[in-house]
Amino acid sequence: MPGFSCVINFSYLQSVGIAPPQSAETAFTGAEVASPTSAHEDSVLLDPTLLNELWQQSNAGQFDLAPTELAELLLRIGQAHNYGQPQEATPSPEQRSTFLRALRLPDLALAHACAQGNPHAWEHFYALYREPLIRAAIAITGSDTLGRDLAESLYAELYGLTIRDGQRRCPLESYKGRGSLIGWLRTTLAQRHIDHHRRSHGDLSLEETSITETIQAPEPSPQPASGEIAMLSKALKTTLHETTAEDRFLLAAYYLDCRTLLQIAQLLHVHEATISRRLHKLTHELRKQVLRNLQNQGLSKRAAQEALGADPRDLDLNLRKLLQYSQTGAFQEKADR
Amino acid sequence: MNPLSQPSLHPDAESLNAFVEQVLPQSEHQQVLDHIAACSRCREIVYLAQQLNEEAVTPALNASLTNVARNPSWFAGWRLLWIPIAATAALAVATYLYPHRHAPTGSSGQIAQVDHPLTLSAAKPTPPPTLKSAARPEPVPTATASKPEVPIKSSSASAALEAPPPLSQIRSGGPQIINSKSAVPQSSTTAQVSSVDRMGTVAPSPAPSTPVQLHPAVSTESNDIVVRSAPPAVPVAAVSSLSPAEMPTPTESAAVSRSKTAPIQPAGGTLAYFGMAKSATSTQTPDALAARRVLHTKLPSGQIAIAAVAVHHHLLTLDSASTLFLSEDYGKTWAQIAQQWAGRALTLRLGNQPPGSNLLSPAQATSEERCTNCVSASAASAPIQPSPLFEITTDSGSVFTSADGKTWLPKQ
Repeated sequence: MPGFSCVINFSYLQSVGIAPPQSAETAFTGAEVASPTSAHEDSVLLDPTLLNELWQQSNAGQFDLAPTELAELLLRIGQAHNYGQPQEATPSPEQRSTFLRALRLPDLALAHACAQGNPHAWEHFYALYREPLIRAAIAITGSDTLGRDLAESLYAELYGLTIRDGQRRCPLESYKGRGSLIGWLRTTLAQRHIDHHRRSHGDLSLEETSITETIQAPEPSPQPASGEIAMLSKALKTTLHETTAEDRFLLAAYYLDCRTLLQIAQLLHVHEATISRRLHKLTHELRKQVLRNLQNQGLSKRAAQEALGADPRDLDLNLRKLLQYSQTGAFQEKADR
Repeated sequence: MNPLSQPSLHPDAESLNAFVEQVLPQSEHQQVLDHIAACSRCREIVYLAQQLNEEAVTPALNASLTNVARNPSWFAGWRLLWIPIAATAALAVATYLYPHRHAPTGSSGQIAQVDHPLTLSAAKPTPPPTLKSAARPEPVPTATASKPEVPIKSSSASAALEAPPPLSQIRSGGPQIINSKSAVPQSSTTAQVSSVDRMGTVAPSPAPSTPVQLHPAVSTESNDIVVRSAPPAVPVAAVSSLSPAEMPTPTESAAVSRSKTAPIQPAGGTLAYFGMAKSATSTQTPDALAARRVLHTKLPSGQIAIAAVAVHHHLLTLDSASTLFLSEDYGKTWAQIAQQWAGRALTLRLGNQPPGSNLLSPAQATSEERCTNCVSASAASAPIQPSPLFEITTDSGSVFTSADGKTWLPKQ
């Protein structure tokens, strides 16, 4: 009886005074969310026919969401993402309507209603996503107990038990409907699990943890690099810094994270043979580029080839750090950390 | 590290999920890709999210496949239905094609000439038509009667049961026993009857005990019957000695029965009936040819003629819309006959012809082939019979007759 349990759970939350926030104005306090006033002014630009169509598609009436309230929400999301256009571009009305139509409107209305504390929406949410969320958490943790704990902790967070700056925060507010709500919930679960694991294991990834647990080899003492080795290290750094983001992702996923071709292909929505070809081509070009960089440093072609054949253990290079170099500034702060 | 508290450091769950679901715009997709190439934490999140999505999709897919396997759709059991359908279709095609291939052309068909009337008694019913009989008709016995005085009794019940009144009834107005002395014309008389019904839809009726005499000149080939008067030169014993197996099948019997509707003209008269267009008859009278030809043409109404009757240059046709047309020049020009009856005209036949003898009605004929019924009568030398010559039956069962094809009156 998930619906009945949800009612009890929500009633309990109301009785203890920690029910989810009731107002949309109090909910949207993030910097990326536009002010309601500006959204209301922009709502004039939303075609009433389009708004009615979107409102009908979202089933917002089921959760007592008025069309004007949905319009404000949609316009805030559209402004936050510039309607899917680059930040410097000015979206046309057609691009706006296309962006808004592409949103997962029913999921968005449900998440917004839940963030507002609508009991009916929470019943619906509970009935829809409780079991999938628990299954996902168990799959992530590999343990029924840990999985249920993880799912329950996320539920508590979704209910708005987290208080920041004197206000309850509901993570559902950050859902903007570009992907599915269940996908967002799974990703949030994965975030919680990874963050918890990194906190408890000294900021090590799952693979790094397993490697360090199984291989306890003593680290070789740093030795002064010879001239050729130093030139090779420099050539490698230069080469890896010149690769594109997708190439670096391929290298990191395949060589650092030890992902299979199929996993990478599924993530990039291409065939695994495509990944194989691209990796083959990428390593071939990287080798040529390293040779070119070595020759640019004054080595002959033959000497460059001999330098490339050096023992990797002689290199004092952190390839993980080299690969995890971000060229864009969007998330530069974390990447440089 | 809570990404919600540091949204500028990592893509939030919304962006990462949108990246996994490939719904990000290109510019944002590139930003996220650049980040996860450098951030192992977000790569792990993306890997996990992708793995969870795959695991969520796979069980659902497996469940749906299992459900399909457990509960086959309602038409799954119909997959074997193609076997009887194919068999039926093959049977129908074979039934349709065989008479076409073996249909006699012109007068080259087998013709049994009997100079004296044949008496077909309904001693025992003929077994129903089989696949063999439908696909490959039994060889039609050729009978030659040399003793006209001896009636030939047939064991075919359907021949007697389905036997409409003799052809002579068309003129005489009532059933009668034909014998060589009274009915056989002295001059050359040709009557041809062929059946439209190739599928053996004519079911045998309860057998009457009264023997039915056919006109001596009866020949059958497949389901075509040629009734022709001929000099009494063939012994009747050849027909009377036919075994039951050699007797016509019900389909043939039906045709035989229809053959008995062929009018036996008095001396000097000629009547010709045509059934299937493919049926070959030796009658080449203008009326017969015109009646047969019009069955394959479209009438001014745009409909195909489904019945045609020709008498004395008067070619009367009924199209599939139950519109009646009259032509007095063998089909060159047509005049539509105003409807003078209530309802739809279903059958068209010669006057005084028993209803069962009309081989076709629009309601029965759904295809052109089945509609190719033609009845023509030609009386070159015989005097024109008193009215009515033509007769139609409406869907309400009313019968209207006409002497000239133009004016129609309810049959008294």
